[in-house]
Amino acid sequence: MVNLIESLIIIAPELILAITAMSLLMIGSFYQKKSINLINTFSFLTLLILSFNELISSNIQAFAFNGFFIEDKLSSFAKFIIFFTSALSIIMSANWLRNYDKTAFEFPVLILFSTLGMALMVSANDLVSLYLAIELQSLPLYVLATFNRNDSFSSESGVKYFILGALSSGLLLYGSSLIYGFTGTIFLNEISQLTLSSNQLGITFGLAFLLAGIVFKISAVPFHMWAPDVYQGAATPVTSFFASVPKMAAMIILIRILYVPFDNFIPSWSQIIIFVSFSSILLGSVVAIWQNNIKRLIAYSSIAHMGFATLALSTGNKSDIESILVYMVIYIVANIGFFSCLINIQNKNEKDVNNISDLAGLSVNNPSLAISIALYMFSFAGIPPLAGFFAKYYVFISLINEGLVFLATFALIASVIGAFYYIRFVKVMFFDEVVDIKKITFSRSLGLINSICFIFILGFIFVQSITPLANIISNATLALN
Amino acid sequence: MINLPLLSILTFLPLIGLPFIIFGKIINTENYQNISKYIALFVSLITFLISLIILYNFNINTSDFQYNERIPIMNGLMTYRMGIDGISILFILLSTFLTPICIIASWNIISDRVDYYMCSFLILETLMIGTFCALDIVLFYLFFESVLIPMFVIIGVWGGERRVYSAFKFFLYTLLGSVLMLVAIIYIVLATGTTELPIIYDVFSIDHGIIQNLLWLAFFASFAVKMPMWPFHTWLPDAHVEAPTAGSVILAAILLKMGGYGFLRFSLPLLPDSSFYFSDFIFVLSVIAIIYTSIVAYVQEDIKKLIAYSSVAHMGFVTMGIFTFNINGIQGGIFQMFSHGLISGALFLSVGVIYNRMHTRKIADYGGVVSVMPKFALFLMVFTLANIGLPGTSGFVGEFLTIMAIFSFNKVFAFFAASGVILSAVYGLWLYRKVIFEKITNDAVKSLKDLTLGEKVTLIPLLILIILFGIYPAPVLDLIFVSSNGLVESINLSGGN
Repeated sequence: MVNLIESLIIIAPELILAITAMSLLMIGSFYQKKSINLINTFSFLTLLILSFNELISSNIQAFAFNGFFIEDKLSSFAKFIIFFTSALSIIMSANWLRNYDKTAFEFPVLILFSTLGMALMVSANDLVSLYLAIELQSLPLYVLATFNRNDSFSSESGVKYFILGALSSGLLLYGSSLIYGFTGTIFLNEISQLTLSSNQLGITFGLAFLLAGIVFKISAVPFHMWAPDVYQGAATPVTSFFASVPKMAAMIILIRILYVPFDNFIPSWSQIIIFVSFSSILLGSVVAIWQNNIKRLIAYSSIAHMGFATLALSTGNKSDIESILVYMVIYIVANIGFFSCLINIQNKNEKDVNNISDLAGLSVNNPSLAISIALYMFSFAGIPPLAGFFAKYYVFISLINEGLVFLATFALIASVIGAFYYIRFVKVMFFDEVVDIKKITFSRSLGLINSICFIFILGFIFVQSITPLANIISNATLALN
Repeated sequence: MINLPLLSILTFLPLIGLPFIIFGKIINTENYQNISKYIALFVSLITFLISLIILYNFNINTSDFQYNERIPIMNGLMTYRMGIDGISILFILLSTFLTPICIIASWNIISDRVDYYMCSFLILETLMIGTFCALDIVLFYLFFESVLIPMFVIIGVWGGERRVYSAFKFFLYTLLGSVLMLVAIIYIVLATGTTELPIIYDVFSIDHGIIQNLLWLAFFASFAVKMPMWPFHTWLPDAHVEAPTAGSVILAAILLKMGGYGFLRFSLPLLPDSSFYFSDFIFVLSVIAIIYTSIVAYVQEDIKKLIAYSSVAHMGFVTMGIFTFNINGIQGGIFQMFSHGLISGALFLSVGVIYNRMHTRKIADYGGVVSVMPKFALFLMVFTLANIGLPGTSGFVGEFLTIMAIFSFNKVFAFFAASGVILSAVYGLWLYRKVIFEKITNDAVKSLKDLTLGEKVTLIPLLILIILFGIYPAPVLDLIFVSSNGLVESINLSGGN
């Protein structure tokens, strides 16, 4: 009984989130239209409070439900980012939702459920809870992808996402069962002790399947094919959510899976990771050149960025997790900032902008939005002194420190190829003539989010030096040692 | 006075203008364009004044870094460390001197989005000064690389017809060179455990071998593109031709010098053996640059393109001078960079003067300008002769010193380098004759008006300095002597050559 109460206390944030989500679902279905603002506000506040709770949580390491669930610095850092970004996604979509369908109260509720899944995912400490958490976060995402019911692209993207997602879950489950079969345990930290005495080939096999399932979630090559279609089809606020939060959760679980149960298999998986990351960078950078659709382009760009983040994993050194976390934080902030600008802009038919050419002459229409987007693009391209440069700087320090100089050089050259399409945004917004007058829906909350992201990206040197961010990240890194 | 962080003030002062320009746009929506011009001019003049104060208090008798500032930031990944020696102060002065001139030169010419334009120039000034002040290897990279953003915007927004192509070419070319340098920088940082340049000078030593050569090539990739050396120069003619006049001036006068400055600051002191090992390679490239691009310049139909190619040729003297490893060569190289900054700036401004009247850069469209614009013809003559390297102009001093140094190094190379002086006379005088003399064939030339007051304001200071330093180069040479000498000695100590 005492054990149960302790476990419940450890898992309290997730419980609160689950209860909130379920009650909001009830409220929404009974009160329909009247409740939409309440649901939005309440889910936003819940997520915000929970995120700050994670920030101040002092748990060094705690297990709940017999090791089913782990709460350590890494997971609380990840949850801070996940809750906070989800909260921002809810505000960002509120305005769009009001124009789209006033009765669509499911939207924030779905985000809450998905966030719950991600929170459980980063705290999963055995293969079964991992699988369940991944399913819990994926199912609402499939629904969100099809949210734009009247648009056939959206339905297509949802179905594609669902089928491929189911396939990846299958791979993950198959890998888990292989590992369970060869080691006889599902707990991540116990697997680590048993790997050396078990059948090596079988475990490597299981590891490969497990990795395939997770790599699918971060949309890295060779399991990236769903991303461009899904990003393009989904509504803009949904794309913004897809491109940021689930990536963080999947990256954390990738780190945990690789370093906790398989820390004796570094030579085997680091080859896989080198292949995955380098091919993601190359494909993401090269293929994006031919894209005209903004969201499709962002999908390829996110593939490339995931490649850069996973590059730091390929060193097989636990201290390089710091680089990955820094990279992810900067990537997410730039992404949220970019989408907070994009959601504002509609073309003259009051439709969401789709093509890059729709942004032509934005610098005349609305200079502050154009400058913000340009800044995020330069940051994505890794031009100093913006945050995106430091993200790459951290990763390349890790790589060169481990002697992977040539990998670093090739990745940097690929990043120059990537810079081409990022500066194309700047070209369209600043160099091209105005084609049509765009309709800018100004919203105070989006402006606030944009300015926070803008300051973060522009003044990353100060953010890094003044705020405790660096400290928190290095603490999170130590959690796995 | 002593405790004021003057270098930081100097570096970030131009940025102070930005909020005022934005504020001016908010409070006065009709006349904000003029307001932003005055703010930018005022701020850049104050910056110039501060750089003069720094010069006044500068001690020329030591090769140590002066005006040191040091704030550890970024948890050891970077240090905010600033400081200058005799070499960097020269380029700082050049930057702060040319920025107000560029702003005046754009006064009536830029009519589209003036506020953005002025903001871009102020940001550019901060980044240029920062590049020359930074004494932290990562901080240097930050400034060096950030210059791409405002320059990309300046070429792309206010450039000519093919501005998009040129802006992209400029951006991607320079970025590709720089990322290779980033790898080398990270390698050095990890090898020494510090990012501060003065400490790296003391600590970093690496046996001459494949690694040092690769590091040298990585730095070379960045600086050679920036310089630009043949065959990495192809972005330059495009960027120059399409950039607005003031953009060309900054590009030719300051941004190109960052390459030479980089060689002096990093390649030579950090990797002396490889620098020596590759010096023949540099000489061959420089000789090709001097002769080949001079010939290419001669066949150009576009005035700006001709000057752009002549810049490449003149930079060839700089690289040759730097890699002679002797005091004359290095001093000559630095002086040549400084004087080329003045001369190419003046030439681009002069081209801007006639371009704004005729809206064509074709040499064939001109001819006989002397009869309608005699004052302009006089100015252009001095600048052209200085570009050729006539004794009595600053162009002569740098070329003379470098050729002298090359003679003591290798006579064959010296022969070819000296032939560049003749070639530059060929295309320089040819251009002057085609544009200024001959009969008026184009009716539009007949109605040209001579220099306006604003144009005189921009050209006269350059004219004075070009002649002054041509007759009496001692102030500049004194300023750079001790630091250059320190550099030469440090190379001999560590290289053992």
